[in-house]
This record gives sequence, structure tokens and C-alpha cells, in this order.
Amino acid sequence: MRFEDVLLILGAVTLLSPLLLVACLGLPGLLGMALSEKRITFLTSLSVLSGIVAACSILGCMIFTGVRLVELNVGNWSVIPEEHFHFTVNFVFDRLSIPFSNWLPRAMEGPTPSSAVFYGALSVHLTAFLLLRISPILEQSLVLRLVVGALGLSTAIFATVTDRVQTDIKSALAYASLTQVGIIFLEIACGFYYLALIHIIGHAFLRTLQLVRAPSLLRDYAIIENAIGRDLAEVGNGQSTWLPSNLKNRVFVFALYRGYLDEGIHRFVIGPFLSIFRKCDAWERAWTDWLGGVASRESDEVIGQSSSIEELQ
Amino acid sequence: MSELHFPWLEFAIFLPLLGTLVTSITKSSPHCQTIAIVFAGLSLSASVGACLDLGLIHQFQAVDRYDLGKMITGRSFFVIDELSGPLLPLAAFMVLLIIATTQSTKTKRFSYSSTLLSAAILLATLSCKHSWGIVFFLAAGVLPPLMELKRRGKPTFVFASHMVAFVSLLVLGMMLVDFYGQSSKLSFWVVLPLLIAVLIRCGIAPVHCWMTDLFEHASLGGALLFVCPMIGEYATIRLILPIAPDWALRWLGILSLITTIYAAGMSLIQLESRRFFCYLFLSHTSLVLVGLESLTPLGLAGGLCVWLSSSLSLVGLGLTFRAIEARDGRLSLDVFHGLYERVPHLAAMFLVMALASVGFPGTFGFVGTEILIDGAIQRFPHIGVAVVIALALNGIGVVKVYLRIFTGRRVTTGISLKGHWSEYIGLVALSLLIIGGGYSRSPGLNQDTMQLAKFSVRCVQSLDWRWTISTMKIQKMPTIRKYTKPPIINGLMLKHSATSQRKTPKSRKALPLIRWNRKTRRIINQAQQQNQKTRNKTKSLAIFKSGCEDFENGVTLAVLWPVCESTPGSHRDNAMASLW
Repeated sequence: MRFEDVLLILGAVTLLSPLLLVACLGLPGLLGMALSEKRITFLTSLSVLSGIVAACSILGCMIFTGVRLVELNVGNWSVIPEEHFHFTVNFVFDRLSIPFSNWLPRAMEGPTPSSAVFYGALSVHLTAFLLLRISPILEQSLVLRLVVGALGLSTAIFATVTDRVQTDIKSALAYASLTQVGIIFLEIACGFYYLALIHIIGHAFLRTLQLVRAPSLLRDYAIIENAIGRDLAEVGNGQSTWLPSNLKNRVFVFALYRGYLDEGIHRFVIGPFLSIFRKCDAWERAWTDWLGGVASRESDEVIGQSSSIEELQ
Repeated sequence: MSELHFPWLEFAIFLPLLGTLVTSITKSSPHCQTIAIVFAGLSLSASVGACLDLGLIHQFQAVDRYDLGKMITGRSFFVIDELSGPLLPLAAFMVLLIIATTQSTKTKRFSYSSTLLSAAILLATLSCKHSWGIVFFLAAGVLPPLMELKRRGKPTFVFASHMVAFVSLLVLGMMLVDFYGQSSKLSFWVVLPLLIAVLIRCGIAPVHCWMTDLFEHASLGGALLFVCPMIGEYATIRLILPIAPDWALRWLGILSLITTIYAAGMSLIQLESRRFFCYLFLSHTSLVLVGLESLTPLGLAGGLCVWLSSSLSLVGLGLTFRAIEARDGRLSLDVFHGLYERVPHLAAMFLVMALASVGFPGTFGFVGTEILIDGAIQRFPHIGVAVVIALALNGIGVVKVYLRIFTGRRVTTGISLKGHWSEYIGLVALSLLIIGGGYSRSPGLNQDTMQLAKFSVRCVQSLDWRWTISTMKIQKMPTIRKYTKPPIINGLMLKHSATSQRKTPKSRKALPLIRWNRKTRRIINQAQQQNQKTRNKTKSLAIFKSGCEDFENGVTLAVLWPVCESTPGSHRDNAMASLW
């Protein structure tokens, strides 16, 4: 199977993976959350797929041996403009870097630990793995490596700050995963490819164990406290005492609202995108109404009704 | 022309016509649906027989053995070839599914006679290769839905006005083409009416509103039968691709790309299931057009695969919507319905069809979608990514609709909403086809197709001046076999540039695929003379067509097509579709 096939399969699976999250669940609140997560995931997966297509289009024939990509025609690479490099490689790290990183905690909040393991311990490393694969391209461009490193660093800082205000174990683990992935990006940007590979493997094992143990955490604590006959010693609350209180509060609110990233994406990306098509829909309605001379949409009578033949129950 | 072993085509077409008569007589009978199923099933059997027979006789095209038209008028009206071969059973299968999955409670509202009439017209359209015959059947095909709208007392003007424009422009375009001749370079004004007619029938924006109107007002079964066989694409291949200049196909492709994005985006904001389905369908039908107009081997192969897979998966999705509507009425998409526990089988079917329609790995459409993406990127390097975006948006749409319809709340019920056996059989058969098709990669494609297509592209790219030779039986050509394994692409003719590099063909050795006879020599001499006149290689050489058939060794050389409108590397060089 070609590498592009693998990428496309991965892309398609991740495109539709939100469905797997909620397929057997029926809670509207959870569904709302999942739908929100779905939009972000789709958005980022879209960039992944676009990047794959662009990469295949620009680079042409590629082969992969071992971990890294080996190009067939080195000469071609030198003529690729810098912006093509950016476009080609942007896809591999934007999925888990800010501002698109909040899909991961949302994906892990609802489902069972097994799904959380898939997302939090395995799926998160795909992006880093892809970065490793195309590391020769990174080596061609200092600017690109700087961008990758900066995004990785900022993601790590954002995730570790946000992690400290989470009140549930899965979200905390999700942000902890993000922190590690950000650091892995940084390692790749610095050229430490084998360190990054070892980091990926180690992190996957550790996070799998933590996620599997997460549901029984409280029970484990209770057993330990019963055994030792007292409360467990409180560890640090994560707040730095040297920060001014005003700044501390601001950081706390920023972390509590997860960096306002979700709201920003909904307001500035998804909202305008959908509003364009709503406008077009209104134009179509006006056109068909005018052409037909009557109200052309029977479907208006349906909208908003939750039909059920047993409503009387 | 070769003959089939049996008059399959006439049976496939006239059996539904006979069924129309019988069902119109027995309209009030409780067995009307059974009668319709029998006739549709027989028609499907005949269509499958024709397709298999064509494979058995190893010919590019064939006519019926006892051709009624030939006996009466001396001319064969119905022909099956490698393109229409798989499309005939597909269309007949759709008709059978639509009739079989109609609930008995809807019998009074759903006209079986009209459906069978539509089926007969549809199969006749697909079996006809004569341009005016296609025009006639395309025009006749708009009547059943129009009659249905009238019968249901719905507004018809939107649909009727678009269809009148479609038929008028089609007739005008064909008249212009006949007047100016097909072998010369056609001007903008000659091609324009045909182009607009095809745009209307395919539902390309901004002339797509008839389709949403049809789904709003017609029965879902009737609307599905009218749009799902993608007969507009068939008209494009038969009528447009052979004559349209490169620029026209390019603009048609760009318009299709825009439509596929537009329809995918519109499907996201729809709040009612039928309108959602309509836009999803429009997005897919535009995708098929993108592939067909890409004029690259990859794009054409992808377009054909997506055509077959989208038709199957979308008709399945439409029938699932129809089955849900039959139980719960038309569905609003701005609330959660939670229907999973009441109709789990429909939820499963919906999921299979929806995933197949967006090319989910392991389903029917995956390979075709991937090839289509490759082809679109080749043809439109800067905007071909739009195909990926459209597919992603469609993925968002189908997942969202699944969640809205089948999840969200728990509804306890004392009334069973389980389906009829015919629903089960129909949808399970579709699911098996979709998953089985995905398992066997894709219909009409074998594992060597990609390599072969890439080989073709490399051949074309390596040649400066070349001949494009199309044949349906490449496996019998040893010169090709040493480069690649035998290709089997139904309905798709592969082309191979047989000339040596940067040289005009001068010897038989240079054109090993051509049987040298008086006719081919004359054509090649004309092309060489034309080529000498246009040494700058920027102007059109010519389009030469030759019906060189029945070559020795079973080789059928359908068309001999020198490069036209050619700068080196022109996309016209990759043209194959016009050879149908």
C-alpha cells in the first residue's frame, strides 16, 4: 500500500472518528459537545488531507524507508518555493497545535477509557509521526523548523497551564498529552529525531496506563487512605506564588476557558463560513419563490418539529 | 457490428414498457406492486444478461441479435458498449429497489406505471448511442416527473422552466453541431447551447434549483429515479466530450468544482432531510463531472468509479431516508430524533450508505475517490484541492445528519417500526454491493489500474508529438503487455502513445497498435500534413475520427485521434472519454 493511501485512510478515519465517540450514546449534552469537537476535528483533518494532496502534488513521487522520507529527486526540492514548504508541512502539526488543540480534551471527556486510549495515547502521536516522516523537508528550511518549534513550544505552554485548572481526570490527562506532544514537536524542530521517536513510544505507554487506570482512581485513593488511616498528603496546588495576584487571576481565567480558542474558532471561522451558505440559501429561496410564484419550500413546515408517532405517551 | 447472443437490450427496455401497461390496468389491484417488481426484476435480469454477454463476446460494443429496429428501419437503435454495460444493470437495479422498497401503504400515492415508464426511458437512453436518439430520450425522460408533480397538485413551474430550457438548448445545440459538422473545430457559440443544457441537467450551480424543487415536491422515489442514474453525466460523455474544445471542458470542470464545494457547504446548513440529500447528491454529481472533464486517465477512471459508487450509495441513502419518512414523516434536522432504538436496521444502512458516499476506506467509493482526487489535482493544480474540501464537508454533513436522526434522545415505543422484508432485502443487497465493492477495490478497476494510468501519463508526458490510440483490448497487444499488465477498466478506454519520442510516426513500427490499411494510412497522412503546417505546435492539428473496427486479432481500434489544440502536454492529449 502506498504511503498516500495510508495517509488518506488515516485522514478519513479521523474525519469520521467523532461518530465512533457518540455512536452508542444518547445524551443531548454529550452530543452537543461531540458535535462541537467534530467541527474542530473536521477542520483540522481537512487541513491534513489538503496538505497530503498538496504534498503529493508538489513533491511528486516519494518513497519512505524506515522512519524517514527519502526523496527520489533531490534536485526538485531545491526549487520549491519557501511558501510551498510551509503549505506542505503546515498540515502535519496544526492539528494538535494551538489554536486547534482543544478537540482532544473534548473527544476524551465523554467516551469509555478504550476510546480515550485511542485518542489520548495513540492518535495524538500520528501528527508527530508524520513530522518525523517528512523531516528531510524540515531540514531544507530553517524558517519552517522555527515555525514548528514555536508552535510546539506554545502548545506545550498553553496545555500545561490549562492542565492545572482541570477538574476531571480525563481532561487533565488530555492536556498532559498535549503538553508532551508540543515538546515532541520541539524536539523534531531541533533535529532530535530519535529522541522524539523514543519520546513518542514512552509517552504512549505511560498515557495508556494512566487512561486505563483513570476510572478507578478515586477508588484507588480510597483504598490507599483506608490502608494508611489518614488523608493523602496534599501536593502543590500548581499556583506559582511569585506571580502577582492580578496576573495569576488572569492566567487562571484564561486556563479555565481553555484559552478562548473554541469561541474564537466558532466566531471567526465556522460562523462566517456557515453564514455565507445561509445567505446563498436565502437567495435560492427568493429565486425559486419568484420563479414559481408561490412559496416554494414545503420543508419549512417540517423544520423545528420533532416528529414522533407516540407523542401522546 | 457484433451481435449479442440474445435480444437482451430490447427485453430490458420493452419489459418495463409492458409493465407500464399492465400496472396501469391493474392500478387498483393489491398485487400491483408485485407485478411491478416482477417486471423490474425481469428488466434487471435482461440488463445483467446484456452486460455479461458483452463480456463473453469480447467486443467493445454490440447490438441485439434479433434487432427489431434494424429489421424495420435497417438501423440499430440500441447498442451496448463498455460504458453503458455497467450502467444498464445499475439503472435497472435502482428501479427495482425503488419499487420493492415502497411501502404498501404508499401504493396509492406512488405510481408504479409511471416508475416503469421512467425505467424504460432511462434504459433506452443508456442503450442509445445515436446523438438524436439520446436527445429524444433525454427529452422524454423529463415527462414522468412532470406528470407526477401535476398529479400531486404541486407547483411545477420551477422544474418545468428548467427542463424546457434544457430540452430547447439540447435540440438547438445538436442542430448547430450537425450544421457545422463534428469533425471541425467548433466555435464558442456552437458549443455553448449544448454546454448550458448539460449544466442544467447535471444541476451545476447556478442552474440547479430545479433539483431542490423536485425533491421538495415530488415523491422521494420519483425524484431518486430521475436524478440518481446521473443521466446528465451520460449526456456529457456522449454529446459533449467528443466535440467540445479543451477550453469548454476546462470551464465545465471549474464550474463543477465550484458546484461541488457550494453544494457541500449548502448541505451543512439544511434543516430538512430531503434538501440535505439533494445538496449532498449535487455535490457528488459535480464530483463525477470534475473527474470526467479532467481528461486525465486518473480523473476519468476516478470519475467513472465515483459515478458507479455514488449512484449506488446515494440511492441507498435516499431509500433509507424514504423508509424513515414513511414511518415518521419528513425529518427536521434541527432537532434530535433518537430513532436508533426504533429502527436500528435503518440506522446501520444509513451509516453504510453515508460512509460509502464520502469514500470511507473499505467501501465502494474509496478507490474511486482517491483516484478522482489525483486526477483533479493533475488537471487543476491550484484548485483541485477543492475536491478534498468538498469530500470533507460532505463527511461533516452525513455524520451530523446521522447524529440528528438516530441519536440524541431515548424514545421508548410500544409499536414496532420494523421494516418490510423487501426493504430489508433491497437495502442489505445494496450494503453488500457497497462493502463487497470496497473489498474488491472498485468495479471495473483491477489492482493494476493505478500503475497503468500512471504509465499512460508518463508516456504522454515523455512525448512531444504523439498519437493517441484507444483500444478496448489492450491485453491482446504484446507491445503494451511488456510495459504493464492487462488493464481492465470498464467503459474506459486507455490510450497509449505509441510513437517514438519526439518523432512523427513514419513507420509501422512506430505505430504498432494500428493495423495498417488504406483508411488508417489516409488519416495519418492527413495528420502529418496538418502537422507540417503547424510546426509551432501551438495550433490545432485536427481531430480525426475513424470507426476502425473489427481488426484482426480481435483488436478494436475505436478512434485514432491525433493531438488537437495542442501545445506539448495539453490536456487534450489525455482525452479518452470522447472515444465512447
